[in-house]
Amino acid sequence: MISKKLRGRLIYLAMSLFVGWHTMAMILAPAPDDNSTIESLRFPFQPYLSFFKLQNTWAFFDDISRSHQLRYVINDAAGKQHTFVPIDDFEWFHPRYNWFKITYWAVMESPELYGEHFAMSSCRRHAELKPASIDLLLVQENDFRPEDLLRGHRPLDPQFTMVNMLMRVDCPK
Amino acid sequence: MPASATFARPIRKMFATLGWAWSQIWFQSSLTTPLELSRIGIGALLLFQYGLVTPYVLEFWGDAGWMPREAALGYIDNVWMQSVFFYFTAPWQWLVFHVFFLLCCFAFMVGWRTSWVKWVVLAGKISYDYRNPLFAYGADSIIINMLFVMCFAPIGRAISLDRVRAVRAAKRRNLEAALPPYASPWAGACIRLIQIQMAVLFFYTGVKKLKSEEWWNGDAIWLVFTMNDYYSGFLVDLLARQYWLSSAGTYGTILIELAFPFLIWQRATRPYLLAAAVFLHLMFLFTMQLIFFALAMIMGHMSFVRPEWLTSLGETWKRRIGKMEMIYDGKCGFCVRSMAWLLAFDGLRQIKIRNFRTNPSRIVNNARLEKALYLVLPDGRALPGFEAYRYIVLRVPGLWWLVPYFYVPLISRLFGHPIYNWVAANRTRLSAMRMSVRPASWRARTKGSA
Repeated sequence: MISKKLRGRLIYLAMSLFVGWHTMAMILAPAPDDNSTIESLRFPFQPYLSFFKLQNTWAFFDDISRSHQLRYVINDAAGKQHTFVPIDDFEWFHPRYNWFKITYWAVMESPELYGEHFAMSSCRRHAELKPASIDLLLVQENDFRPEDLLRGHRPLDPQFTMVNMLMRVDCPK
Repeated sequence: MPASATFARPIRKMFATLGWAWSQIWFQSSLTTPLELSRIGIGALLLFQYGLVTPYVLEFWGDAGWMPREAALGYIDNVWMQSVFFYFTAPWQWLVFHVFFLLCCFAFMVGWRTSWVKWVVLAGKISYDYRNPLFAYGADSIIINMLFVMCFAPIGRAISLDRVRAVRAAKRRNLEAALPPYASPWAGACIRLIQIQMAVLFFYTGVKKLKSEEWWNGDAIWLVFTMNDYYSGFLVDLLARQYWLSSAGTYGTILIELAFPFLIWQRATRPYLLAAAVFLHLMFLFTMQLIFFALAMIMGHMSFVRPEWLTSLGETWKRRIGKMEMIYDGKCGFCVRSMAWLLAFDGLRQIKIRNFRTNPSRIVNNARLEKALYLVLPDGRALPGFEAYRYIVLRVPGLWWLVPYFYVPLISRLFGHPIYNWVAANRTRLSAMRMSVRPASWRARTKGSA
């Protein structure tokens, strides 16, 4: 039977160890990967960070690159083309906006992984157009300066964008 | 004096000073209110976010959806990255888990059975994020980091249904009983952990921005708002004509992010830094529509709210509303239980009570009190029955959740008055009914203990 005083000390020690350990984990988790000292310091924390998903980079908007937009073109049975911008289906305040924005981003990043799933669901969605195939397009924004806006242009005007074909998927008959 | 003793004393003194400093940094007794505010906010955010995605659970996290299991496992690089979804085999399991998770988010938000519900919310959030890593971004990391600390923290001790239950239990024994607010050194340590988390986050965010040219040359804000993702016609037009606003916004953001981790700790500078950080995230919310991220950050900032600020806010509110006295029938068991229930929600202790059987009122006579409960206001007015409750729910913050029921135009009064009058007229019967539904074993126990 341990005394009340000893039990109090042990609890204090346990609490101190936890706050010390977790503080170290919080500081080391987002530290840059390119340093071998940090890597070796982080090594014992890795299972803890992974299991509780505490690893992160805390690098919000540190590198602001031009954004992309996903579009798709439905080629119908008559050879006519219909262009769609899927994110335009949702206003920014729409609760599903963010979820779908991320899925469209995933299609643009890894069309080989997510392109077919997206294309098939789009074929089903536009069944009334009798789609024969669907082209997934990535619209890459180029530099856009204040002078361009004052001249009456917008960032997504054709001269400020570059369109890349990601993939073509045949719709099921 | 031996040489060893000469050296031992300053060393002991040094250790004692270090121990004292360690305790001052980590283990100062604190109320849990800052953590409770974060709990309510995070619970509401998760409930809202995951509630709205309910129709797409199988689409986003299922094996036949956007992220097949094999693709998700491709993101997993060690055995510690686990998700309960990896163990599911039939679609109903996803749906049952999702509904259970939402219920737990709701329970977490209202603080019901918080001691175990918080662990389910953490496990669920981690599971969603590992099953579909595409969806997990900065805001999700912030939420998980805060949830993790909250799992170890003594939350649910204030502004929660758990607190209501505890106060109600005490009031059932004695209506005048007052349960002191919960405070502990461990609550202080957990608040400190979240504070350090927020400071570390700001520090890294600020420092990493310094590596980018656009943050040095003042273009960052312009670039953000001309991106398709955050495009705002009005703002881009304004920035194009007044480009200095872009530079001011860019440098202002960096300044706040770098100053925050250093100046947030001091008593004098904390209010300014906290206001600046909240302002920054409100800007993210309103101009970039980063609703989830901005609100998650603001919930993190709540850890810097000093409990005494909240206490003084509560005192100001109490002063503004004034004293209220509720006069009830202490002979009626149902009335006493109802009072215990009502007072349990009165966290600011705004309502004083009077049992007219033992302590008659000079304002309302006993004949009127036989018919209904009365509320006496600071100006001497006395409101009976339903009107008393209607007055109170708007003025006692813990009862605000009842406002929609008591303030529906026409309907509330149309149904409220007859319901109250019926209950008041039948209160003796209701009191007896309550006793008769007690299980036999309970009655035997009560009798035995009496």
